[in-house]
Amino acid sequence: MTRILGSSSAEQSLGTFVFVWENLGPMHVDRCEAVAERFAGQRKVIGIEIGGASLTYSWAPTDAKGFRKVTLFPGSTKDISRYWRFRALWNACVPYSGADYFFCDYQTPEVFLTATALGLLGKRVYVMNDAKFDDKPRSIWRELAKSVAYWPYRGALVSGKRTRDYLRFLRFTDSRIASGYDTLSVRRVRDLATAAPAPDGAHFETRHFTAIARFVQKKNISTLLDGYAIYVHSVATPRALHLCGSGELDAALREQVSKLKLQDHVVFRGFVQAGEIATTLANTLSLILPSVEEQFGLVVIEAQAMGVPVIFTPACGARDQLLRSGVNGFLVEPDNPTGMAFFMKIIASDEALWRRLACGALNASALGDVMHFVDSIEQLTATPGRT
Amino acid sequence: MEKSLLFVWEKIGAIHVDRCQAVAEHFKNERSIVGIEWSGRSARHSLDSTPIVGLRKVTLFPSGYPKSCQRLQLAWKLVRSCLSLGRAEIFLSHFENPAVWAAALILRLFRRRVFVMSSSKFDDVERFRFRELAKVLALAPYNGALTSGARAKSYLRFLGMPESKIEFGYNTVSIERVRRLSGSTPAPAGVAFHARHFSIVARFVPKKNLSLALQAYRQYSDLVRRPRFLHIVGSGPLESQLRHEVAELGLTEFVTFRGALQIEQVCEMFAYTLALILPSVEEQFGNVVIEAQATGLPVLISDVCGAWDQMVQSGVNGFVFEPDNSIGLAYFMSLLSEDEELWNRMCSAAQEKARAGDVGQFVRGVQLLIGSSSQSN
Repeated sequence: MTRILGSSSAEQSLGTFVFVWENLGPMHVDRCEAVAERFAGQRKVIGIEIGGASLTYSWAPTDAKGFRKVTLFPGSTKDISRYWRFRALWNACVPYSGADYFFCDYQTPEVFLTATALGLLGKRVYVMNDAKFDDKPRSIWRELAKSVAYWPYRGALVSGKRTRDYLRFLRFTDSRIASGYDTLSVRRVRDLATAAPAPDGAHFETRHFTAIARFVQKKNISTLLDGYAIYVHSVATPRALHLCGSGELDAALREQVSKLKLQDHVVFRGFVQAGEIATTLANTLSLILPSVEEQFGLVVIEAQAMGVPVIFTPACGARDQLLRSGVNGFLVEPDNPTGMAFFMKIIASDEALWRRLACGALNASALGDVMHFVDSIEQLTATPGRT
Repeated sequence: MEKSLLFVWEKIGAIHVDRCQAVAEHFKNERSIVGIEWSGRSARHSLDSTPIVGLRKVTLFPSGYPKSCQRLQLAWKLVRSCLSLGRAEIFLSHFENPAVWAAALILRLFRRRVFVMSSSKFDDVERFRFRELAKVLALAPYNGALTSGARAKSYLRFLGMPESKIEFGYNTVSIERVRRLSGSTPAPAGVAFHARHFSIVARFVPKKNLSLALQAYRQYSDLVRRPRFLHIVGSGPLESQLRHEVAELGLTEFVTFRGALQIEQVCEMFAYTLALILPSVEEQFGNVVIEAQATGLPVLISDVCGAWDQMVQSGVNGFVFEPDNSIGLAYFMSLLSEDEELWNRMCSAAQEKARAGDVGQFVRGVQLLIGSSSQSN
């Protein structure tokens, strides 16, 4: 059943910002709220989610403050046909005159058709994307087809250098690309944590390693466990590893933990909501993000908000602008458990190094703040030029 | 009549000789090996062409590749030279050059099997859709590709080369030759830990990012009590600027400019080196990484270098850093400089990894390509 909230005439007359995501998670709400705050009294903000429940994440529903949240289909859209999704999205988008539209998931038929139709009507349509060329094997023919799919958009909001390079290749000139897509409210994370960011807060000795990721192949938790096992066997008193997540590999990972005899060291925390992520990070020595494929990795921003260094792989999109090896974390290859163990060991054993890395993380945290999203929205919509 | 294997490069240097000789050694009486170079001088490198002892070498423009040379002239010479050598399988570099494309196409029409040798990656430079589309055409004549590393393979696949026709092993050198030239046993044996210095081997051009390395060296020297020396091998248009930067940073006593050395002298220097630094902002591969690893050296490498993909594991046989990150590089320099146990371990791992960059891998790649190509044909 479709539930479309009506739009007031006041909103229609003002230039409205319309943001469309598959589902509004905490970071999307951060972004909408930040835009609403910056443009208070000038422009309205509408956040449209196609489904009330994410197809990928188990986020708890989030309240909207300062902007209007529109849910096209309560619950998951798994059983809703593309046609009905398109109809609902079109009906939700079309009433606003003088609006700027920002779409995620350009590749889905409902978004493509809606964006194309709006583009044909002369509306200002932008794409939000964090894909990189190196995310997966590419074929030039498929990429050329994608460049057609980007036709309706007059600009792009992206996350880092590699996404910028990729979208420049696909369609846009540099001046029509703005960075700042993958951001969240650093203040919210700190408020939720109810603790001071590292190197203050929890004592160095009491902190543990943490991985926050879905238990799916591309998150590469299995290699992390291999690396962690090497670390455990190389030190006298190893720190615990907390795994926050759930997914299809849950049973396999638990079995691997048993085989590696790590039951006393690895804590399975299940899927945790934003509040628990923040409190967990407040007690974390280092976040480990071992992915073989990772468009961005928003958890890096949450970690840096709490001054937590990150051990990360090259796949991680967040590294382009937020991470520097030896400054606020360490870069390691996703097939290199020995290297992971090496970096875990030096972070865990050298408090002075950890403190320096924590300060580096804290210094970088502003780069992931939602204010950059607002700045980019302002930059993109201020200039009406086409690609 | 015995079939030939022809290898065509812009200029044949020591590493190309390594590869030709290794292939010749492997195929002994089955194939004759010919190295073909466009010219005795490279447009980029100042080093002279290297003779191939015991093998045939053809130079298309012996007195130098004329600036006024038309692409048609190069294509014509390439085709004529390859056809004159009878039935052959031909490995060509620079597939994006129109003259090479024309030559490859004509050679295919003459029923020769042609293979491309490339280590380009998508992230080397800014890419444009229609230029990449042209490269799809440029790659079309080839029966297969010899490449190095995951990113280079991914780029060739992106341009339409089927995965089954791509083999690794292109960027390789003779580990045995490098070790012999160094005149010492590989690290951690040989010269004592405390007597070693950092080394950089690179042309003095912007993409080699030597200014960042100097900044990092300055930061490193502030981190440790007794900084090790830095030796820089190379020459190029930025030389006076780099010397000026060294003076500005107060490093004149610590940094030695060694000039453009021949490979023999570079290998000798590696016997006194603690770690090689390769800080490039653009680097298709970085063959010097293999040469350093052959002498047991850890490598501090920027993440744009193609050699990272198959030769370097961070925390195992070196460290990887971003090319805008002097603080990280300085920290890794201090780690290696101060911790002999870590250095020993990384040296052993580097020696082990060097095998992946040995010419044996080139032979294997060639063998797989001509084998699979003959099957598919």
